[in-house]
Amino acid sequence: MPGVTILFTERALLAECTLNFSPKSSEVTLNKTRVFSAAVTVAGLALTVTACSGASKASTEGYPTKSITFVMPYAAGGPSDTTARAYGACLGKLLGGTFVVENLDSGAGAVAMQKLAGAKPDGYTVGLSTNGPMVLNPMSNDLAYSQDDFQALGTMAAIPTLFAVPKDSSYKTLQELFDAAKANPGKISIGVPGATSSLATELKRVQKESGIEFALVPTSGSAELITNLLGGHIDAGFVNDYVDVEAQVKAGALVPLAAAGEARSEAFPDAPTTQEAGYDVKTTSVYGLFAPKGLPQQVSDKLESGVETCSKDAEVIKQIGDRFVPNSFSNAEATQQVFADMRTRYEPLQAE
Amino acid sequence: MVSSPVEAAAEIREPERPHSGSLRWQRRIAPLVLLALGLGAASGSWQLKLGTLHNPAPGLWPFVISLAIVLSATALIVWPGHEPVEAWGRKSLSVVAGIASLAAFVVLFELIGFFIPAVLMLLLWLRVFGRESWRWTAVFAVAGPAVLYVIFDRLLGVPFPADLALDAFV
Amino acid sequence: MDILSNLGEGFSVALDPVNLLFVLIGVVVGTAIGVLPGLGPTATIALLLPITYTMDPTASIIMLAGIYYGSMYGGTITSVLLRLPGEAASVVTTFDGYQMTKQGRAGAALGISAIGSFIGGTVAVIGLTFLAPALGKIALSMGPAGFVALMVMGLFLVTSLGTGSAIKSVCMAAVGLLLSTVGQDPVNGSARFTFGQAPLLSGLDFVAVAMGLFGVAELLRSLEQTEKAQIIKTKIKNIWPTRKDMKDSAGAIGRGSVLGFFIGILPGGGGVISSLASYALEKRRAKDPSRFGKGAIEGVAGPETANNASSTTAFIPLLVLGIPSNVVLAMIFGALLMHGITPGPRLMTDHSGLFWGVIASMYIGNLMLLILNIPLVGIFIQMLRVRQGILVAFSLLIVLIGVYSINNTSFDMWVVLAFGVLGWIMSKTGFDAGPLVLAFVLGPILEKSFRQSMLISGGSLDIFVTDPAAAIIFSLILAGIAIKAISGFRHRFAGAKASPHVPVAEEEDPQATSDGGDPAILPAASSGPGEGAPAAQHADKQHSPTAR
Repeated sequence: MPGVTILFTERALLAECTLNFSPKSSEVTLNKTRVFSAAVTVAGLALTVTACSGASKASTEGYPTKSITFVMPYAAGGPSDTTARAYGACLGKLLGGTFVVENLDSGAGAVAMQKLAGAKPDGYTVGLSTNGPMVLNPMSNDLAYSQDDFQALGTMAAIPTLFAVPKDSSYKTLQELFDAAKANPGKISIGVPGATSSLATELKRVQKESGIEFALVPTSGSAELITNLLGGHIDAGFVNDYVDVEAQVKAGALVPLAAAGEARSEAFPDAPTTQEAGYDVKTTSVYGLFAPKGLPQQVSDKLESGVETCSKDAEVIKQIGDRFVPNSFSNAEATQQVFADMRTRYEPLQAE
Repeated sequence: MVSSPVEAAAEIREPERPHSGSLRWQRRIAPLVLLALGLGAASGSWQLKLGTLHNPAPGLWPFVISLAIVLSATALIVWPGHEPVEAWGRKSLSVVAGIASLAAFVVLFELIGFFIPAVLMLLLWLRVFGRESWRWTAVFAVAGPAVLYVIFDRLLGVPFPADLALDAFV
Repeated sequence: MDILSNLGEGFSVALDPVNLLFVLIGVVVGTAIGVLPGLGPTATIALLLPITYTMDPTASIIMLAGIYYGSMYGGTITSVLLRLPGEAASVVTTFDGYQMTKQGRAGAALGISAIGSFIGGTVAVIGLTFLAPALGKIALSMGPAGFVALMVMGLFLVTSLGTGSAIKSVCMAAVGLLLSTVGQDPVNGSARFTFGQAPLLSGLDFVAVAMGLFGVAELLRSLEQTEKAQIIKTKIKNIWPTRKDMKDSAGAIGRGSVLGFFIGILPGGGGVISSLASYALEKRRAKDPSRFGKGAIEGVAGPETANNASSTTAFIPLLVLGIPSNVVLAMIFGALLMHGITPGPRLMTDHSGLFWGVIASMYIGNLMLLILNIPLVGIFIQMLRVRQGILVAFSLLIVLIGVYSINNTSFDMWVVLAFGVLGWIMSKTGFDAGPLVLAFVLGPILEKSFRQSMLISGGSLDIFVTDPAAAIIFSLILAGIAIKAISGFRHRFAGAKASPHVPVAEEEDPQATSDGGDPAILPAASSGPGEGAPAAQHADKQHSPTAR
């Protein structure tokens, strides 16, 4: 028994030091000894240091030969962080290295992107990025990096978006909402998660092109947006179609009006897409894997195929959520294109 | 022994009364700096565009705050107050030296990692500022950074910059 | 009683030996992490998330919750002993807690905090047990307009805190507000006062600012102090609060529990406001408000109680509505997601074992923390016996790498250093750091909420009257001002006749009079008569009113 415990401790500690998920979690049933040993693991955190030192020694030949820094422009805890950690663990297992996730959320992600842009293009520094830090932030701020400094390696996950209203809202369809805004310019309030989020930017674009004027209310994130929706302080929300919204819809507190993506939401198949409802509003939070431009072909191929394999990995899918991991893999080229398109779409808006 | 908090409090900030005019003027230095800050911030916010109260632009809120700083600083220049303040003395110079040493620590930390700068910083603070014996200084200055390195970098996974001294061993 | 049977079920979950172990681990790790500056519960939970994935969901949430409220206890320790507040709510604790340490009463301060935290935490869990669903609705009633009102109230409280002149407090609060505007504008995202520095886009980090202004400034000041003043030796025999301390604090703890409980429900900023409100309330109620900021035990007991109560009720929006009200709870939300459990309105029914198990574990966790703190207070007090030079050197080093670890950038090290220098200069020129730091926390919420309100109302200020929550809070503020004006008027009347009284008539404590060996630690910098030790030795006899 003690032997088992220590072994477990070391393994988990290893996972700890490298910030990986424990690799075999799927087979962990909730039997008490296991749970107990996990307990000891956590207790051991405060006491033991062993096992950590060996963590960075990776396989000896070919890429990778040492641990890889996985830069994250967001704080720990959100869906992007889960994505980075799930893929980090999977890629590490697959390629035989260790991916150390580094959360650098200061500067609205700019610090992380700057670090990634400045790193040597050798495959030992990669990073997750999305529309905000990759496209919008360098557009609107004077930063030391631009989109051209990075090369995409594939899409890891994508969070769709949707329009939602509180359950007792008088707007039953997207058209009613937009018509109301047309009739009362600037009076219909729509919450967006963050002033510089791609959702806010997309709505600004729509406002500019369609002439419909909303009262765009940026909140500090989804949680605040949902609170305001539930409390009836705003008329509608344009929000990430993530599980937090899903739970509110399932409980009947929120009603989805339309999914703002290419396809209907897997969670709410009854809600039409914006396209079907007759409006050109769409944005998706794409979590791409990026590296500084100029990666050796061999390394980039290895990473790209690694992302593809991991996007089909059961463990990764389970951790991130089935409907957020694309069923058909969007490769390096396609991902690069998605971000390039975003730039052309929003550049005219930022020029003002 | 425990003194009554009243006396203790009185002594925490040793009263230094404004006997002379020059001391009263010294009390106006800080408010003047604040006034300058307020004016600078006000002009900075003006450039950010104010908008209106009903439709505020980015500069409005900082502008309102800057005005509050300007007003309160002006009031303090007119009435500098009589509360006891601490005197500047020769000892204040050692604080400046301490600050410089910490700045040097941060610069070195970025360049050569945690361990060596930490040892150097502790050597200075323990031996010179703390007047520890050489023996204790040496023990703490080496053991301390080692333990902290293990806790923060290894155990808690804080990514310290590449370490000149330790990366060869661990 | 439906609730009681549910709670019974919860206890059967929480009392399971494995879960009990996790409660213990949670509170121990939480306390330990709270003591390390810069390493708040956020970093810790982020670190443990991968491990919790392999654990049973209930056990993992029990543990993470334990870390959260355990860290509140731990944060008190550094605030009181070293004037290092790790999070916004414990800034208030430094005001009187650190002064008590200087007077050799650190044990009493920590002891009363532990007791207050236990009572506040327990009251809040009881409230959570019986009132959670109803209270969830209160959280929702707070929209942007309500937050404007709440933050305005907070700012009023902030400016009434200082020990110096009111104008200085207002000025410092304004500086704090100005500093908080650094970064991206909350509504259109344009950069303000960032001077081309990318890390400043998300603003100055609170922990770096607070630790600089309080902790680093204080550590730097120690270099100026005379040798004698540097020797910190505290009578350790008397580590617990005296009966008189208890009596003095009882009211503060009671009121702090209630304040913390209700204000803690409000997402975002609830914790700070509740400890601020408690402090202001105690200061207002005190016979001699001038004691505050100079080591009044109520000034520690009240806010600490409120802080812990509010950290417990902060779980209400998460558990009842599925809305995480701060970063730590967002991580706990994330931990639940990883187990395939989505917190939301149906959590209580769909996962009642988890829901009630977590609540029951909070009763147990609070009790464990109280028991743990009895020996811990004793141990931490010993820390003051460490020679000052060693304590200062290591505190500085740990603070520097602690702030580095928040965002993993050395930029924050420069921030903490710059604010350390600023705090040192402020203490030399008689400005209080408290209003600055607290306004720094409240400012962004005020601006964001105000601008959201203006967007929602189409630019009409009527929203602050028509929004029920805003209307209620604004009328509370007006009532407060009116009461202050009236009592101030009456005070001036009565004050003319009153003789100069002795503010703290410390009960004749045998410890206090015997043994003149250690002067209370008075880092009195300077000249002037009656400096340092001799004066302190005669302190009990002098009983002069505060020199002013």
